[in-house]
Amino acid sequence: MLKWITLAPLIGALINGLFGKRLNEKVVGLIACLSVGVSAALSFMQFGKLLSLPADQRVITEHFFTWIQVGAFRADFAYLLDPLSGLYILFITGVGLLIHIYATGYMHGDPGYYRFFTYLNLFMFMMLTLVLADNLLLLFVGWEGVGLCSYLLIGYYIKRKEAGDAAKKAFVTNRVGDFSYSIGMFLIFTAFGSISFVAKDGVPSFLTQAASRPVEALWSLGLMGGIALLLFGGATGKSAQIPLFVWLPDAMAGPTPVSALIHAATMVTAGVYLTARCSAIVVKSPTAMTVIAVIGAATAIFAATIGLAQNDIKKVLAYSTVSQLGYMFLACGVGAFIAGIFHVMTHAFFKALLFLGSGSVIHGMHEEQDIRKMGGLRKYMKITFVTMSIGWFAIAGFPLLSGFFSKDEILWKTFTAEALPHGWGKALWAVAFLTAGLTAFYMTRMMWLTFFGEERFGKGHDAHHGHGGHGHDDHHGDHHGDKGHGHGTPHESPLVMTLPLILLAVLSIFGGFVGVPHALGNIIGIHENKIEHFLQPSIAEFHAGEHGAAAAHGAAAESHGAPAVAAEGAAKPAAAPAEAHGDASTELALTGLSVLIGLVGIGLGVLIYSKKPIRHMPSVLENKYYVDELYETTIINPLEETSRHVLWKFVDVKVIDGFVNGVARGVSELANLLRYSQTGLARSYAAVILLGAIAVIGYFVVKIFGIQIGI
Amino acid sequence: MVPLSWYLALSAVLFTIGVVGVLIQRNAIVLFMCIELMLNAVNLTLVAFSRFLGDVTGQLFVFMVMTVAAAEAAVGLAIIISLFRNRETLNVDEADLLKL
Amino acid sequence: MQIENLNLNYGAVAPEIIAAVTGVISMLVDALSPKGARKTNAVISLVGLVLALLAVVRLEPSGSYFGGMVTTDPVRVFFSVIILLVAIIAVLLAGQFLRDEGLPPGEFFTLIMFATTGMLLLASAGDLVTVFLGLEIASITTYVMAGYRRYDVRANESSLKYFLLGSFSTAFMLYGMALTYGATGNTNIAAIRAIIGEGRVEHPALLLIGAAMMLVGFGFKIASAPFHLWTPDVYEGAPTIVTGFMGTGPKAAVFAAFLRVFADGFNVTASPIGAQLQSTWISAVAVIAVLTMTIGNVIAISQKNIKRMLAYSSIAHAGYALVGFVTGDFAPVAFYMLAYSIMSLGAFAVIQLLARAGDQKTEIADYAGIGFETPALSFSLAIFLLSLGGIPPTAGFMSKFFVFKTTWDAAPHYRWLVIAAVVNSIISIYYYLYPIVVMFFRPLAPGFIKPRIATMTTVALILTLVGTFYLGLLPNRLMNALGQGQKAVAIQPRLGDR
Repeated sequence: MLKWITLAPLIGALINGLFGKRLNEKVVGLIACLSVGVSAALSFMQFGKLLSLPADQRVITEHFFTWIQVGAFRADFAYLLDPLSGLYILFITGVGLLIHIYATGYMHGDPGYYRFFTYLNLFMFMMLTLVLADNLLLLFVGWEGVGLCSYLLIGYYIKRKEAGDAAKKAFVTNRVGDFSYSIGMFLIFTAFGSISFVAKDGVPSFLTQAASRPVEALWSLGLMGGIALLLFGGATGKSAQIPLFVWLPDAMAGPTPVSALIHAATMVTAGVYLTARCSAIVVKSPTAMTVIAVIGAATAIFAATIGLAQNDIKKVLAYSTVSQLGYMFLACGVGAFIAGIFHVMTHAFFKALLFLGSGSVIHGMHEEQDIRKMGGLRKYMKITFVTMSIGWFAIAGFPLLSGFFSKDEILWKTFTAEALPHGWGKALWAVAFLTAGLTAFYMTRMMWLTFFGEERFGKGHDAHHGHGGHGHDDHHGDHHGDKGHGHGTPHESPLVMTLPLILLAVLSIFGGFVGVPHALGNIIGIHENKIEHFLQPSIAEFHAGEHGAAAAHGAAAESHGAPAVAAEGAAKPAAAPAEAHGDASTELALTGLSVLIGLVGIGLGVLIYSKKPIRHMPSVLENKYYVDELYETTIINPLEETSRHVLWKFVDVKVIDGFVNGVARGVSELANLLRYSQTGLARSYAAVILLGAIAVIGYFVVKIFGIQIGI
Repeated sequence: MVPLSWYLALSAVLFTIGVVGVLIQRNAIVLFMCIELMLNAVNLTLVAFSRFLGDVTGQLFVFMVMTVAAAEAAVGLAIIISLFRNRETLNVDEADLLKL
Repeated sequence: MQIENLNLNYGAVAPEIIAAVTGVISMLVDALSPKGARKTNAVISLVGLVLALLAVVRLEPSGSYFGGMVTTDPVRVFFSVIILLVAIIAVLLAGQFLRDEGLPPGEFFTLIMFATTGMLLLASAGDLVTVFLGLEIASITTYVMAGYRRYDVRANESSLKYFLLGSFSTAFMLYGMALTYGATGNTNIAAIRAIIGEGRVEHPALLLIGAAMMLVGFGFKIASAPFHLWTPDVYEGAPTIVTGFMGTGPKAAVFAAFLRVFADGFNVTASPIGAQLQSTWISAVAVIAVLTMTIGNVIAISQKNIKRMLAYSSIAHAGYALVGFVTGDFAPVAFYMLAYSIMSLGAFAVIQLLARAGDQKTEIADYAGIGFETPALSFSLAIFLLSLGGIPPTAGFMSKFFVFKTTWDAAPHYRWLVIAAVVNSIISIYYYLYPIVVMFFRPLAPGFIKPRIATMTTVALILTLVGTFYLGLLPNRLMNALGQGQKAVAIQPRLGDR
């Protein structure tokens, strides 16, 4: 059954790809949505099946064929459904379906309609393969596949140069991360003799094996730490963390549904998935955990500050995504993988909502993306306004909305982090806390400039062409055609677009209740953190082990649950109530604080931007700390220059050729050969061959002195 | 009897003359003759070895080489002629459109 | 050598005979038909090649024939299959090429068939004489094919350079063979192996120099650094289909002979001289491999012409395949050459179509924006390029993986070589990606005309695409077959050990 979850979108992609050009737009949209719908329905069925199993046996595997078997190396085409992948396929197919439906309206009239849906379906296939893969290599195939679809969709508006450049940037940046991933995978195989998440041929999965390794000392980098950091290196590429985050904001050049699906809800969280999947390794290295937590927190605050000064509605959301991804990695770094995954899920709801809402705004504003040219839109687009407001409050951490629970959980786990050096947890908590305030503030700014205040559209001279630097969705070229910009009032989007918004808004409101933290849960009467309980078998936990002071937390209870992650959490339920009693008051106090800072952020935002909506922001923020320029001058340009001038022109043309000519001078007329200072000449090639021959023979002759000389 | 090493030395010298010729000559035909010289130097080596080892294989090899060299000459001259038709030159250094 | 020991078994050379006879037939048919016989000859060639393929499959699994001149072993069988596949695809592509360019139709097939004969002989050579003969038959025909576009100055130049430098390197190879003969008193590879193994080498110095010179000769034919300089010029100037053909078939055939001479004949450690020779050539090949892939990849980055870029890429790929040599095992090299031949031919087939008559459009800039104008071609090209870059799930990935993995396990001293190769393949992705970016993310270049694709060309493209994915997704059967082949080599009684 699992295979049909992935195959359904692939079939959709094939049909649309092969015949889409001849099909009616409606049929194309129907095929695309239907295929994802089938996939979603099956996912829910399989998820139900998973739930019906006893908690420690929640594993469904499906083997198709053995892909590679070279010596001990084995990789299969096989799927694994366990709580972690189960949760992922739920929101991937669920949110994916809503976005597909939305896109049928959003892309209406686009000449490349079928092409768009082909890629989008293909993306779904790849993404589901990524999360369902039962080994690291197949996961890597999905990993590369979603990357490919992402580039194709970023570069969807072929005619625009910035789209092409953005796609290229995404590709190159991700290569750096992939390199790290592949070395990590290689090391895993060398260390454990397995790259599978489940036991194969009697070889236990590398996760099970890792679980029995000792915890490495802090600030030492052992094998586990090395692997964890290499995998995290891969994750920084895909999930846009420092230093590889630069591609994601540029990726907004793609159509808005793509931004919502790929660059907010699903693909960019693949890095979090990888880290959580390999949590058994990560928890063995406090060093790696510290690095991950610090980078996560740094990315969170860094991107949030940039988000303050962006004027393109999609860019604000893009930096917000980078920032929220930072939160998720912070959670992974402090060992709260479950909180991280929980945030992945809630973020998928509210960020998809916000992106789709922004798409609706852009649509209604006739392809305007600059929030300085909006204002007062709430009158014109009521549904969009209301739903986006829900997203706004959810991301700002307004109590009882989904973002509130997940963010609060991460903040609390950071505050009490055991894996990090003493005191670091609190420092990172402060950073994350501040970020929460900034998030509320810049989201308020975005919402305020868009929906409140005076109407700044219509009177601006040339609203469209003044900002060529921003990515405009201009697929409506022929659709809106002569209407152009400037005239025509904003309008609400059609039902196919607003319906997904409403559904996502509902999810954003109630989605958080599956993971209510313990202390808070006791108050509002939800005593079980369902998601934590559910995910525990898939996730390993940090235990300070032999060297740490916190050994009192409980010895590692090794269990050999089939998904191979030692369900060390077996010891947890016993420990949890005790912990809850001791720290409940602190936890509640912190929750109160984070609610407060969220409200302060919103309040400040309203206060500042209702007085004067257009403010000059610090140019270093508007220019994103000049990171792009920094990379351009320090890495990209030197590389190109080196290739062009040093290696090619100098080494090949000058050194090799010059050398050849120099030698040839000995046997020929000096003057004559000086003319031939460039290649293309058969004779100088012959000279190089001769030189090579002399070198090879010389090498062999030198070796002769080791044995008896024959002649 | 002339010792084997003399034959070998002679053929090495001939081979080297051929190699140097390839490097310094510009006329395609002469260049080609230098390559033929290299092949014939090798033939000399083969025959000498064959004689001194009392084994006939070397001489058989020489027949093969000669046959192949003839075929090579036919093709080589045809190539040189077609270049000459298009460019009216036998100078290999002027054939440098393809470079870098 | 007694006449009764010759073992004259014509069945053992059936593939070569069939290829040669088909070549002669197509020549006669062409001569006797007034307007040239493009279609007839294509069909004749295809039939001949398929028959030859059947003959290869029906070969006895191992044996030594004609006084050891021809030998059958898994290397021969496997590489013969590669060669015949390459030839079949080349014939499929040739029809449209000849028609579009208005070139004399018949001879081209004759040349392909004769080249195939030479390559098959090379793959089956059990004696240095046969190696030389096969090499020259394959080379001389490809010299002609490179200059097939007679009116084109660039093709003339390509052909001339290839011819002069090829003959030059052949002289080195031949000298090496002569010295080896002098040192061991034998030209039979198996016999040479036995003599080295027993330490009965009269002139060890001659043997080592001879081996070095043969290494130079093979190094030239497979385009490894520093003997690679001819490759870009020749590949760029030759008609694209010929470039694809000579970059794959002859190269694979030379690899077969290279394997048999070095990885088999010179791979004995039983005697001091054998051990000395083995460690020397393996270390030399390792250095050449690194040099080759690095030079190929680095210079490819700055290329603007796609054929030239792929020429440097082909240099780099020879370097990767050489990595497999340090294991002294043919399986990874054989698998690599099969994968490389398929994806490389596919890429050249698309380039041939896009370049139009006379190879006018081979600059990468000419590819701007064609991505969705001719989706079948551009997506195929993208797949071939990604495969060449080694991205899963394609043949290129699997073949690299196979070579690197085997080397890593089997040759612990050469793990640095594997690391260098992995770093290189990552660098290479940069330039393989460039044409893809240009095709899909740049505005359409003016004057683009959608090429017409003939049926036979379509068949060839589908074959190469299927092959690329088959080897990438389901390589197990083939790898297992190769693994058994390995064992067969090890236990096979060496008929030459008289």
